[in-house]
Amino acid sequence: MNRRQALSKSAAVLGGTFLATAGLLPGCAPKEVKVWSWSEQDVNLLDELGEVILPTTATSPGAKEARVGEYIRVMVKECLDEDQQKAFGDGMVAIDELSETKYKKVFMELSVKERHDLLIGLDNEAIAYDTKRKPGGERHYFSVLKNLTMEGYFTSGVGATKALRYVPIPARYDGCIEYTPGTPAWA
Amino acid sequence: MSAHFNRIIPIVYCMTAHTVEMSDSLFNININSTGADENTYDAIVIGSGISGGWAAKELCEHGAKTLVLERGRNVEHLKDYPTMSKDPWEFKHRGQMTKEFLTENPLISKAAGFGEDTAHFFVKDKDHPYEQEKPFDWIRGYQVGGKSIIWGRACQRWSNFEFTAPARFGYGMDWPIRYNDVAPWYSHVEKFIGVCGNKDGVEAMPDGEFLPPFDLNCVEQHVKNEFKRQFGRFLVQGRWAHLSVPNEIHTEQGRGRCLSRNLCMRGCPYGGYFSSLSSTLPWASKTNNLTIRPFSVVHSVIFDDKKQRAIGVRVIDTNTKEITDFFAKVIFVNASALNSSLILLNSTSERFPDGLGNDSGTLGKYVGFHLYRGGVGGEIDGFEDKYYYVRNPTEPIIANYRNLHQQDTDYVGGFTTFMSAYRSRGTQATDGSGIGQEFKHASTLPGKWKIYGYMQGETIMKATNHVRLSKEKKDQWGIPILVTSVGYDDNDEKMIKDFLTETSTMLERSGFKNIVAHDNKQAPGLDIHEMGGVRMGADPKTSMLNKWNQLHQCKNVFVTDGGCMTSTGNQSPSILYMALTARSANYAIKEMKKGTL
Ligand SMILES: Cc1cc2nc3c(=O)[nH]c(=O)nc-3n(C[C@H](O)[C@H](O)[C@H](O)COP(=O)(O)OP(=O)(O)OC[C@H]3O[C@@H](n4cnc5c(N)ncnc54)[C@H](O)[C@@H]3O)c2cc1C
Repeated sequence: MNRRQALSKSAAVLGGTFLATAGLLPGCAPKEVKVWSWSEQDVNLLDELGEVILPTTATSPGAKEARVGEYIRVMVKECLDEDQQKAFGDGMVAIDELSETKYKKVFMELSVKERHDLLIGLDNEAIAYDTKRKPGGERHYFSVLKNLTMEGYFTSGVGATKALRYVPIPARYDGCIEYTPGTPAWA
Repeated sequence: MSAHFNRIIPIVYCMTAHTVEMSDSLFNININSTGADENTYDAIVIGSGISGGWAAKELCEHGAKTLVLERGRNVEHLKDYPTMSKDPWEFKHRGQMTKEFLTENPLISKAAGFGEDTAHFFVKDKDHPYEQEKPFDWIRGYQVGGKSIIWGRACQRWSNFEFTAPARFGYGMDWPIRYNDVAPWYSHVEKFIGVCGNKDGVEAMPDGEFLPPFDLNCVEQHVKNEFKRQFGRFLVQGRWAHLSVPNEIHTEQGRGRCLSRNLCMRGCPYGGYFSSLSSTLPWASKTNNLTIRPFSVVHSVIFDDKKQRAIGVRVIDTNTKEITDFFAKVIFVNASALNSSLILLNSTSERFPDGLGNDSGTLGKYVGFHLYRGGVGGEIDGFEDKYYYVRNPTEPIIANYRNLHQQDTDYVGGFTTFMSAYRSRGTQATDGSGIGQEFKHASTLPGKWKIYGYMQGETIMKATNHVRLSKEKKDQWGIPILVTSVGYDDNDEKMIKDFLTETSTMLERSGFKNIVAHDNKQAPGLDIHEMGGVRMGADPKTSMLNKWNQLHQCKNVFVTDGGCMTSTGNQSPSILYMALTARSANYAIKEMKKGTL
């Protein structure tokens, strides 16, 4: 049984309201269960979250094929400080908590539409949060996730070459050319 | 080697790494005179970067057996550019540095161009400590090639306005030379390294020997027209050390056309931009007169109190810490400005107890830099049917328009502005969402046109802005570390304010919106244009070097890197260092042939 199943089980036992209020009850034991550990499942979850943000479309593969989960794992673990790492992990756990509150299911069990709706809500919450935050204050965890997803995707082989136009050796520079609407930017 | 040069009997000192640490008795050591002859050259050049490469090229071409001493490791063109052809996704952190690295290297991580793809060409903070009496970011690249591998490649000429301004407006000592003295040497250097640009006929930024320029994009062209029409100010195409179209002299160097990858600082697979690795050093090497010795930390220039001249250079092996002396008739100090001050300050003798050639007491003083604090950005509507083909490796330049013929502001000096327009990536999703299909599509499209500009301003050189040797602390080679005491002044603050106001106004009146003017408050030094400390001047009482870059009081020692600068001007300085180096190396050759050196 993986950690997510354990989580959903305890959620089922305790009822959906538990997870929503857990943060308000200091020292509440089941909180330990929901520790972000960068396990394979966690990385898979990031891939799936990324895929909601940047899904596969007719023109190009999505974030999952670009393996943004692994990219985010490396970046958060090696490029963010410990507080930020913790906030990020807590945030990812909170997404599952939110999912359980709303749908009585963990994120991985949601339908495509449910996933999209859930993250739209979070995105709006994050935008509102970030605009109000004090200068130098930490951004909402979803903004961090979204930014990392975008960076990871557009700098990946898939994102750069299939979603954007990647020309490693342009061989010339033209300062002014006609732009055909709908064509992607240069990577 | 040419028969004009006589050889000096060399001496070699040997000692163990252990004794090096006991730095007081450093040189009371056993003399090993075997192999001495091998240690004698016609000329020694300290440093293999932009200016040292030029000294080596000129000296070798004229037949002087030349030894280039370089403290860093060897770097071979192409072979030692491990990242040059990597795609973005081949970097584990896609170009960023890890938290651990940043924590250990807060200083070097700030440098322009520094990242996962170029980090190996910059020094790490711990390896080369110095002391900042006032905040000063000293950015260094210690290797064969120096900072020429990672430099930004902007190459405008100084104008006579800059050479004369300090004396005309009374804020500094006069230069012993004028634009006309260096103009032919600018040409000499430009032709060899290859500088692209347009002949614009702008008085404040004289034209050079240009290869074809890189285009302006449509918004830059718009800005150029508006600035000229409304303000009489000139935005010109980037004057950059790139082979837009190589000439024969460049192909002879083994260099090819710039293919606009704009990944220059990793080292270029085609030799498309100038570095001493791609150009001057291999050229010098072809003469068979060049010896490059990496891992050779120059400790000091040796002054012989009996002969009353410099006879050579003392070197500590970077790794083994073994000490060796090398000898030559002339010595070129090209360790990059502040390191040249350091070496001369550390070169003491009976005759020069305060540092070589330092009767004037100005050594290490009158240090300047370029003001890089001001930046302005904005957006412009329209031009949405226009784009550009991929990447411009150069940046357009606004020639200085302040304090030229007369002083027209409440400060002295002027500034050059680099300005470039681009299309940002990402538009508004048709369904207004911030995630999902529509959002993703919108994120791939070119968005609004944006513009940025940043200043490169002159600073006033003054005795109080100085560097000196630490009395207590030594580096791992037993050499005193440098103390920097360099800061901003009121003139700087006024210039920044003026730059921000003027640039914002120019953009606003040219149709830009959401203009942001920002003073980044960075410390001096981060401009990486530190200069002075060994300034040129007509009067030996107030300067270190004469008009040929010779130490007034020790004529066979030349300093031709940024250390020699009498004022900072507002142009990117390296091509002037190259021109001055070529000029004085040719002078040195002439004097050696005459037997006066
Ligand atoms: C990111 C970046 C962007 C830049 N952009 C521009 C630009 O656009 N235009 C411009 O004009 N300039 C630019 N510069 C500045 C330019 O790189 C320097 O002005 C130039 O390299 C100075 O040349 P130099 O020969 O004096 O020093 P360097 O090129 O630094 O070479 C000095 C050499 O001396 C060696 N050395 C030092 N001390 C000793 C010692 N004790 N013994 C032996 N060897 C020693 C060093 O290891 C080094 O190899 C930029 C620099 C950087 C880093």
